Amino acid sequence: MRHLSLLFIVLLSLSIFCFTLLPPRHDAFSVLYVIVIFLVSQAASRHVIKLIACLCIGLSVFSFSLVHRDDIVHGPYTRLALSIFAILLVTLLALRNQRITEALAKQKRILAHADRMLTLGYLSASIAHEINQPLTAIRTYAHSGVRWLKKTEPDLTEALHCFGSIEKNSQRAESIIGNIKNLAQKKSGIPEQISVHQIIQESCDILKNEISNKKINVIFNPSGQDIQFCAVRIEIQQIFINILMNAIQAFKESIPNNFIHIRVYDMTDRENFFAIHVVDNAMGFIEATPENIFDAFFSTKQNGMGLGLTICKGIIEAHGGRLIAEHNKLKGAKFIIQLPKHVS
Amino acid sequence: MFHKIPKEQNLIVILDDDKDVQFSLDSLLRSVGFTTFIFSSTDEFLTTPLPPQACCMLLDVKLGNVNGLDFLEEMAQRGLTLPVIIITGHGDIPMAVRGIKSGATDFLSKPYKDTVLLNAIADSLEKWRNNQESQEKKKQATDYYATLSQREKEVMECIISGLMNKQIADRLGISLITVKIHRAHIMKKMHAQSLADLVRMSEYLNLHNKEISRYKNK
Repeated sequence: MRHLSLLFIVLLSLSIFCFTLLPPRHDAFSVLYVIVIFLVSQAASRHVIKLIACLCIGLSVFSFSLVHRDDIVHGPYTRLALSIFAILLVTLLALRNQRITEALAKQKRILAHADRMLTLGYLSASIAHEINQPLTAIRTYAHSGVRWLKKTEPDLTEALHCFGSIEKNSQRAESIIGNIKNLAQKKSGIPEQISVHQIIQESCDILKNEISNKKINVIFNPSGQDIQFCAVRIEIQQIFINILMNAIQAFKESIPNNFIHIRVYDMTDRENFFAIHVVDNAMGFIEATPENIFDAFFSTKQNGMGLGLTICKGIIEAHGGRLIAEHNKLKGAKFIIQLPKHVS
Repeated sequence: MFHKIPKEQNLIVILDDDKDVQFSLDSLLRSVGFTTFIFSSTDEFLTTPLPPQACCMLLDVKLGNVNGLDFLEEMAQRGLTLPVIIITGHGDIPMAVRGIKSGATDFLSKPYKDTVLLNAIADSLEKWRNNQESQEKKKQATDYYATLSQREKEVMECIISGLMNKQIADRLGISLITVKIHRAHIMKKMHAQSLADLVRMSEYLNLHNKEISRYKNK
């Protein structure tokens, strides 16, 4: 794809160059180099744009000197100046456009990061509990290891078992911290191959405590074939955590028939797309509607920023997918995530 | 890990849904000579008959979708009188108060020091033993008491209220000598060495009648 467009740009430049070499009345064609700059600016970095602009100006001047080599003094310099002016202007605009696009992308990243930090803040009690478990086991094993060794007849097998378990539990703590670090990092990373089942499972694991506190039964049976797709892992995880957390917070009571149902399937009506349904039987959309729920700074939570779902929708749309909210038929809310398996 | 139900005394029941915490507790308790009986869920605990040697229970507050404190209340309703030590990762005062009110003997927060845990277990064991002893004494006293005749029961009620023989005779409308005979029978049937013994036994039987008094009411 990339090579094709590169080839197209080179061919375009060459044909413009050839046009400008035609008899003198055609030398205003060098204005057409702006198309080349416009096309290049879609994908290239700022340095490349500048370089291409210089090349275009160079080519115009070169073709001008070739065409008007007999009468270099009385040549139509105004036309040349106009072409060069146009090329410079478009370059400037392209550069400015790119700067603004970059700034916008950076703002989006910062916002997404802020949202992840908010999530982490919300989860801090659970994270502390999660790390406390292996820590408790490590401490208990350490005490018990010492006791096995201090016996009148030291039991080495038991003591070795204790040390092995200490190692295992410190790894467990490490992996919990690793997961949090991933969520807390500023960079969003590069797209990679992701298993849908795995990422849903991981998101549920992160929210394990919240789920059990509200006595929610999460029904997610990863039967059938797993779907692999290409996306930025942390962004996809952020979407799931956000949507699941919304569902969890929508449950006001801790009662045993609370449930969240997650379903993953290939879309039949859109080729190369898959969908994930997240359905709950909580209170549904009160005050909010499925339409305005994605509006920025709209929140029904007491200390919500009102950006979680806006960011999710943004991420999904950047991946070429869709995020839809609906009323669930009986009770509660339903979120549908549609994503392509390959992101261009 | 499967544990055979041990024959000896001092069996500690562990109810925690985290495998690593379970096994670390198991290792620590075995290193000091206890035997353990591990459960991962309340359902598993309720469906398994508990051996009589079980003398203490370590209960985690977080058991999947079940709250340990709720379960403690359920245990009381089901008449399970095992001393319970509550262990929690994130305890606060309301939780501790609720735990103790529901009958827990101790409340520890994770991670705990081994000595703290073992002391708590020792206290629970003490409590369990006392409980066990008083249960036995109560059973014995009830058995002995059942052998008394109706009249002897009436006489005993008067004796433990501190009435003199004369007063008993007067109250029940019988002769002094009959009271003395009843009294001798009661001491024999209740296996009491002294009046003090008899009074202690009556405590288990909850016999004390406040209306009977040695002195006339004002």
